[in-house]
Amino acid sequence: MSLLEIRDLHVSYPNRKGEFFAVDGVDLTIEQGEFVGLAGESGCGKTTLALSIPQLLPEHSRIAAGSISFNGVDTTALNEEGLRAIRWKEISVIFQGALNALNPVQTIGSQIQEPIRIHDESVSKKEAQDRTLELLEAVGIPSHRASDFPHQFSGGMRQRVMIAMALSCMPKLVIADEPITALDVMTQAQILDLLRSLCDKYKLSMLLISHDLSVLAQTCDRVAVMYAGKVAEQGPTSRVFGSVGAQHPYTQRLLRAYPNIRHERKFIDGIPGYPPDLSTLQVGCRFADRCDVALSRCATEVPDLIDIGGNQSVACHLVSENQVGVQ
Amino acid sequence: MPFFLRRIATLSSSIFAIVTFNFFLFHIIPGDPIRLIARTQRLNTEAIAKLRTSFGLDGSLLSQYFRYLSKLLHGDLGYSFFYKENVSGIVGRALGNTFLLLTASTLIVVTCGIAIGVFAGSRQGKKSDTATVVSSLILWSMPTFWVGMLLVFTFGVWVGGLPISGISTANALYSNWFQYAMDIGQHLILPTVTLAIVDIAFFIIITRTALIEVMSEDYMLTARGKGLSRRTIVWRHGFRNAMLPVLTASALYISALVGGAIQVEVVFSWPGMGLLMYNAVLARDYSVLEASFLLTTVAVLVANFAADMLYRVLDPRVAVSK
Repeated sequence: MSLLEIRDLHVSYPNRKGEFFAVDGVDLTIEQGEFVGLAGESGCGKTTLALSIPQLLPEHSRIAAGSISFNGVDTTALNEEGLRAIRWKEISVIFQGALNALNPVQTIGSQIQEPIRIHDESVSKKEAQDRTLELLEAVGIPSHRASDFPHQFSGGMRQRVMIAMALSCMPKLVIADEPITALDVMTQAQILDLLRSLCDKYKLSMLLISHDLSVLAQTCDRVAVMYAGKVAEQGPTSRVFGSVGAQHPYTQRLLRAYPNIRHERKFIDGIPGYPPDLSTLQVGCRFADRCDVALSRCATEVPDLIDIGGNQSVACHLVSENQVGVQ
Repeated sequence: MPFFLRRIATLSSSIFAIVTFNFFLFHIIPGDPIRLIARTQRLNTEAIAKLRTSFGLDGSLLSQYFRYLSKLLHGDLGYSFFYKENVSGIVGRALGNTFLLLTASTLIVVTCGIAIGVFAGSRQGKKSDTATVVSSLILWSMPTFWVGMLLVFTFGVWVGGLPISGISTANALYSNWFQYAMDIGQHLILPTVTLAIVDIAFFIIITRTALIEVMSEDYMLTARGKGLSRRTIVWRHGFRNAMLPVLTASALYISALVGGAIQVEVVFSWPGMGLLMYNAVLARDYSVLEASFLLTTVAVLVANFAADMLYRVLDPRVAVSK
């Protein structure tokens, strides 16, 4: 059994015309101890997908269809009580922007310590304190700073505090939502290394969200690329960014949009156009308008996510037609 | 604690500035107070000079000012020709009565206002929240004196049962202190309710808005993500952050309170500073007015100072920045 199995998930937000789907039929699986990356541009539904796992979406959102099976339990069927028991204890979140995600009037120590005793009343105050100091040391913050407030730390340090906090209950799954945005490149690399090593050390699974493919290529076992509320392509990092290569035209164009430092200088090849407006009805492949290899059926038929072998799957008519040709 | 001392220095210099301003304000008003007191043109110069000396109005303006300062430092606030008594005695009694009234109403306003504000703010958009906001707005738009008159009418004419005027029953004899306190307590009810009913709306709305703003902060999502109960999220993570703007508003509220106190004390004949000031204006009792102005401004300054200090306790970010 996989740790997390998301099947055909639809999450909607209301708008003037009714509702629109920010996540529209997404399948995603995370195995025990796996480090999965989720990529995609702003507004493609990455954060909505991630926050729907511990059901932390805003109140007006709605899980319209699909299931999220975590450790065999469907979290969409849980009530508030049941969800509270899972949050942080089983699934913790490293939120985007650590400055705002930390309470400004509480010491970082008390904030890291807080969930420990909430979820396990048998832990004594002293034990919780000790664990807090241990966690701080583990993320590279001297333990005497536990009594400091968030504003006394730099951006990178705050992100470390956030990581220590996410690990305070030793959850099975950590969701890291753009954990390194707004940090400088050196700090980004340190934080990524830290995340990877902590996950390996404590055997945690992680869902790492980023719009930066190079970050995912460097740290993840597997990646999923989202486009306009759907998964365009997913597969092992070694295949998608390596031997086999990206199959979906969107992933290919994304990769081409990165400058390659080992080759001669070229103009960066961006993708013309904009992502579709999700509040209008979508017909066919959502990338069809911007795709330079689109077939006629792409405008009318929605492509399914097809397994092309090696645990890699792609939602593209062109790829599936070639597949059929090969077979 | 150099910051504390710095703030004390600012406070003292503000008080000094107020004292000076207050003195000159009353002495540059056109018209000769002696003529007002005498109410006659047929006063000989000798009598005028005698009156001047007895009211401290002889000599140059500057020498009067220094004499005033030295008297003030000795706790002498001047002599009221209206009451024929030392101002410090009159003001002292009134101040005690006002303090009682304002303490009672402020306690109700702050505790209930904040509690109801948190209740409404944590249920944003629900029916109970809308009802709270609408009734708060209605209460807030009612003039204090009008609410007072309605209550006087209701309890004085219709229902009865509660005293509507004064601080204690006239000519009453009490067998013990408890009875006396009960009598004052009964007299305290209506003025307190009048002050509280209008001002509570202010605190409800400020607290609600502050809490709603805080509820949308990222750290509130973190608190939810930690699996905390709704109550813990609101009170442990939201409340203290929401209290920062409420504290600032409270300091402003203290100054607004003076106006409310005047209205309520006049309506209910409560023998406090408000009624004293009102009567002093009518009687042109300058020395009493001067003293009242001074005391109210000092009270407002001290309240602001206290809020400033409390702010540093609540918000660690302020405590560090120099």
